[in-house]
Amino acid sequence: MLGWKIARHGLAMLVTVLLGGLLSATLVRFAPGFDVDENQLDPRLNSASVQALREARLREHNVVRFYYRSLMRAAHGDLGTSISLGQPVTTLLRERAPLTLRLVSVGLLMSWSVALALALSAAWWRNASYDALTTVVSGTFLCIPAAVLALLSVLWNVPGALAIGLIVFPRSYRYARNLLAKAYSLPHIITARAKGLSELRILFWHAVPVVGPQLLAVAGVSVSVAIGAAIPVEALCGLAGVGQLAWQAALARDLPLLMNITVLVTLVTLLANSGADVLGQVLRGERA
Amino acid sequence: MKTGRTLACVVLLLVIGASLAAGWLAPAGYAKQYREAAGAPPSAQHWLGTDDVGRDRFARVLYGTRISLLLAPAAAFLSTLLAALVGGFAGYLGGVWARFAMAVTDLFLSLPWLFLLITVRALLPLNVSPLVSVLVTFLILGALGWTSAARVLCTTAATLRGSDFVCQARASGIRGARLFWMHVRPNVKPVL
Repeated sequence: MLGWKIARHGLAMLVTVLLGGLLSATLVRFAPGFDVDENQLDPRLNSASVQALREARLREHNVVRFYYRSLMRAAHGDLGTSISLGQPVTTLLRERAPLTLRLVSVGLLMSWSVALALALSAAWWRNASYDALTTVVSGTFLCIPAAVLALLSVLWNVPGALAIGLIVFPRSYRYARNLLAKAYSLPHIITARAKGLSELRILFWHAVPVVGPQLLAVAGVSVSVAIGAAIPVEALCGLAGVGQLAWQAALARDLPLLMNITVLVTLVTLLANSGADVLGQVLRGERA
Repeated sequence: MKTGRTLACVVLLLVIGASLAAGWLAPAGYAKQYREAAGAPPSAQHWLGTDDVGRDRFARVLYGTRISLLLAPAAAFLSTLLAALVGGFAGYLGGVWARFAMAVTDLFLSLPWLFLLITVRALLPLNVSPLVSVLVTFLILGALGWTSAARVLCTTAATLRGSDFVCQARASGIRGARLFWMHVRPNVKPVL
């Protein structure tokens, strides 16, 4: 029974990932400027080379055929070659993924540490001034565009992970604060407080089981927010990660590269959210 | 918190007032070019300086604020509505509905929507009216911003589905949309 459930979840994830790749390829294919390759304007190229470039683009004209061929190649471990960088996509992703993974992980860790610390302290103290202060702090960071935070991190020479953390923090904090505030106003927690239970016991025995699934869902979503934040941060800070690669691929309409990055992002998003769902079900006492 | 809300309302009203009084605060308009002062720094004449083609930045910010103030709440309302519908019902119904809705949500979270925006802009003619442009932008922003809230709402609704008060309401004969509206909706409001 458990094996069947895992197989069903795995199949659903595979279909979603494949659909993500196809939709991404379709979006890029129909974006204006797809048929134009800047290299065709290079005066050093002769007419045969320009014609070869045109034909290479024409092969990608039919998005379904292109996607089918890509899938067949991917089944043999070949993710294709980047049009703009002229390197195998597998090599590019292998070289750049560790940096992005590190940036996103550290950024998420920082943002969640701060968001939870502020949300918990606001829920414990229930002091209007403190709540207003934390709201102003998170609201300020929410107002600053991701690109501006990335530029500030370059100007002040702070790590890119901090910029990602500051982009994710206000989004995580708003949800965490609202959920914890609601949990701490529930009758059973007020009763527990009145009976003199310690704050830690109230938190782990009474508040976390109530808001845990929702907080896990926010954590799952924050992974995709952090990956999205990695694109401007890496592009502006000159960090050679997958985010910078995605930015370059988007500018060059590099279909093979962009499609593979989307598939990778879809896979990470699905894994994060599925993990959050399963843990949430465990916390709710349901069978995963 | 009441003081904070009052302060926020005052600031918002000031911004709205300034944008509505744009014609009085910046009478020359947002398109007038000061060719002799292109790229000028902030000064008494141009409070925020001028851009590369000599247009007054303060005037452009004031006129641009009108569009943003109109667009942002409308887009936020649309995305919140979509999140409530998709996330709320998926979590409340559970099973295959929840899995399907969350798979769609995950897809929305992962796709490069920048290309959709570029494609839509390219499909619109260059002489499109400001109203159509505003409406299209509002629809796109609203249609893409619902995913995170929908995921959290789905989990919240799923938690509520198995709660004692919902079970008791069901046992009392309250079902379907009435149960959702009367008992589930008020409890997902803090997340929304």
